[in-house]
Amino acid sequence: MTMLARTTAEGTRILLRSDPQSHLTALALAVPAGRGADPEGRAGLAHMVEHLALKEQRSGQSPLSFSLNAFTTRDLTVYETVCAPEQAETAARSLLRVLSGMPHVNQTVLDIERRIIDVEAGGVGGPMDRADSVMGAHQDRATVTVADLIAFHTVHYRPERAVMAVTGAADPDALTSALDLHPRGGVAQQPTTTSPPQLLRPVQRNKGNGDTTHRFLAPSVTSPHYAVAAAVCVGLTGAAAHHFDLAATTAPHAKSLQHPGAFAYQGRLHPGRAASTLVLTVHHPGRPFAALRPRLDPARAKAETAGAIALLREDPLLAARAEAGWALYRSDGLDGLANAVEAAAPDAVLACANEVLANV
Amino acid sequence: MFDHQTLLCRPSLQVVTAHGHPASTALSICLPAGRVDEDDSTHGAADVLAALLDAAELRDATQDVTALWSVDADEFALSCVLNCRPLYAESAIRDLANRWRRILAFDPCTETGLRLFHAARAEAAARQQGAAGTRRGIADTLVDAWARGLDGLPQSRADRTLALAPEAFRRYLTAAVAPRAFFAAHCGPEPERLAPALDRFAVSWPGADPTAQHAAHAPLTAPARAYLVPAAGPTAWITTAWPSVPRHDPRHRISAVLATLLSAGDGPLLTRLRHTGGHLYRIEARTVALITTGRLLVQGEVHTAAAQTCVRAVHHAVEEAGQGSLDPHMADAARRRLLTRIRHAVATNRGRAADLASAHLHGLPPDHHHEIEAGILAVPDEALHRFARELADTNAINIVIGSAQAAHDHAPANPRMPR
Repeated sequence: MTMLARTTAEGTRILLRSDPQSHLTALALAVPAGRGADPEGRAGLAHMVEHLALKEQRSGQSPLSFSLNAFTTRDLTVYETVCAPEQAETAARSLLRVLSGMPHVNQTVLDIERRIIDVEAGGVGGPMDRADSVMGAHQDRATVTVADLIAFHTVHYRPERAVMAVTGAADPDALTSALDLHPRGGVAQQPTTTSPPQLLRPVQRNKGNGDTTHRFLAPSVTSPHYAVAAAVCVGLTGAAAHHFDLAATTAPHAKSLQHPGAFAYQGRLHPGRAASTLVLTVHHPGRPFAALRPRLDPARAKAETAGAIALLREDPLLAARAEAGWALYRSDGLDGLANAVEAAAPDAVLACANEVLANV
Repeated sequence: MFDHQTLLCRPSLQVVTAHGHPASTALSICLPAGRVDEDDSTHGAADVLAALLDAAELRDATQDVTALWSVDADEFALSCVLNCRPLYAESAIRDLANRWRRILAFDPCTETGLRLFHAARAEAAARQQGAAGTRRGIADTLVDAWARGLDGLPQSRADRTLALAPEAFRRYLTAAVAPRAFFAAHCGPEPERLAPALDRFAVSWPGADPTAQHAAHAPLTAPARAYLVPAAGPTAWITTAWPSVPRHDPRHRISAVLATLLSAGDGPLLTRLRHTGGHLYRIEARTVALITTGRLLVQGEVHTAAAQTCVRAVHHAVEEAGQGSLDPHMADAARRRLLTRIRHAVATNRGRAADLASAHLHGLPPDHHHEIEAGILAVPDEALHRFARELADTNAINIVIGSAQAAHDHAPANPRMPR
């Protein structure tokens, strides 16, 4: 499963990793524009652009045989789909279309989308209707204009800034030919970051709902210490490989929501360029994370983190999402993260975990 | 595409295995004992058993904490699903076999047993409370009661579970659990390496009854119902459900295509209610296909002021489909989307193992995917129209959960929607 790097005529990086075992093709287009790119007083703008770019993409098109979805995180906006292999070219063109402007957006379309996002946020005053969420608060969204949307899209949705990953039953040669792709030369640009903290530091602790949540400031994804934080996250949360948020998604495991008692521990590491966030949640107040101290094994934690990455690759959609997202974070992508985890010193993992446990 | 073979066949445990990805092992073990085996005195026992099996006290102290099983009880079965690195699978199976042995010997009337029983009962009730406390949970409870011929919200499952007596739980273990045989599905590398551990599991279990006996399906003729459940909050939750068919019924695939079409991004509901009206973010149409019955549900969170408009639009979309107004291109797209969704659900080892086990419980052959894929593509438009027409002529349940404003629709009238 070698990764091939290509580029479109417009400059969008295309990563192709075919899996002969798969019967589906998955595609994810990542744009480096998330909540963090929202201008002052326009919280939620990146998320509104996500909605409207997806709507633009569908404008005037015939019914699709696959579903297109998108989500916005702190750093990224990702558009994605999974489809039959014979639909891969159509799907790729559909995703690339979100980069080509928003000529149909007008005040009416914007007003309708505001109402839609109001519901998505749980209603005006609802749980996600907050300035610090990716959706922003209702009053912030109310100030967004059509000009704001178009300006944001023009600045952040430049084709050369985006990466599209294609995984699963993809035929790299066929796609290269159909989309007129070219071999990519040179080394991808590394985003600049501020100096990351080496170890985890608690930034917030709250209780509510019967659950206990601990938040920590974690190293940037571009720091070698990020791999240590990843191993600590997985090591402390046991087998929660599917909870481990390598792909920067915000979708939690459904079961843990429907059955709050079903999992004793939940750990999520939200990657970030300047700094990441590690969130540990204990669903049983009587069984705190500190109880895990005697069981923490750095070697096993590292192995489980590598296992979490391998599990991501079983599902072509998760794999495409992760490959595209990580290619925006670091030039060596998900493979680079796996290698960094492999290279992390067990002593560093143990020291970092102990520091976390001392604060939970 | 989905090859499989029998790995083990013992009176108490049958195991099938399928090739999968090399990096993980997935194993789904089911015991056909569920809520259907409860009576008035043993209500909640299936969930308490799941919580007990999941209790830390029953685990092997040396067991790797990173190879957890997820345990879940439903109407017809108790399922344990493992997803871990292949290295840990053998010890995880030994741990599970040990836990089941301890369940067999479990006596809730001893001092230790009673303490564990109380903890598991509280855990099960907490899970039920958590599941039923959401707006979706309230709606699902109402739909479930309606399908059983009841009216309104029954007594809370959690309250009834908390009343479960230790003697009744022991009776449930003796009558519904111990006599049954397990079925397991494995997906991943080196199945032969796991066979000895699974065989020891089989030897240690006395049950040999491979299937639970369920009443034959009878057409559901539930009365029409409408509920407005008061709830605070700036949005409302709407649910409409119709009786449908069980999973083994050939019409299940027609029902699934219709549901896919109704919830498609460019389908009739999202076009009218989201893209044109801005009334909602997402509306989900899905089939719930059980062993003896089924239903088709449409659910979504909407602006409170548009709740009634949205419920009417759901019915209108089904009526339109019944009148033969479905766009053939859209119907074809829905068939292909459904195929992709089914393939995606079994793309991982975990999904494949869970599907194999579920197929066994529903009386379907392990290779049912071949037939499903061909069957879905062959669903004619006329069959979709006919199925929608039957739904439109059937009594449905409509539920709106929200503030009082949800009862009075102030949404702008859409000329394409009847009021």
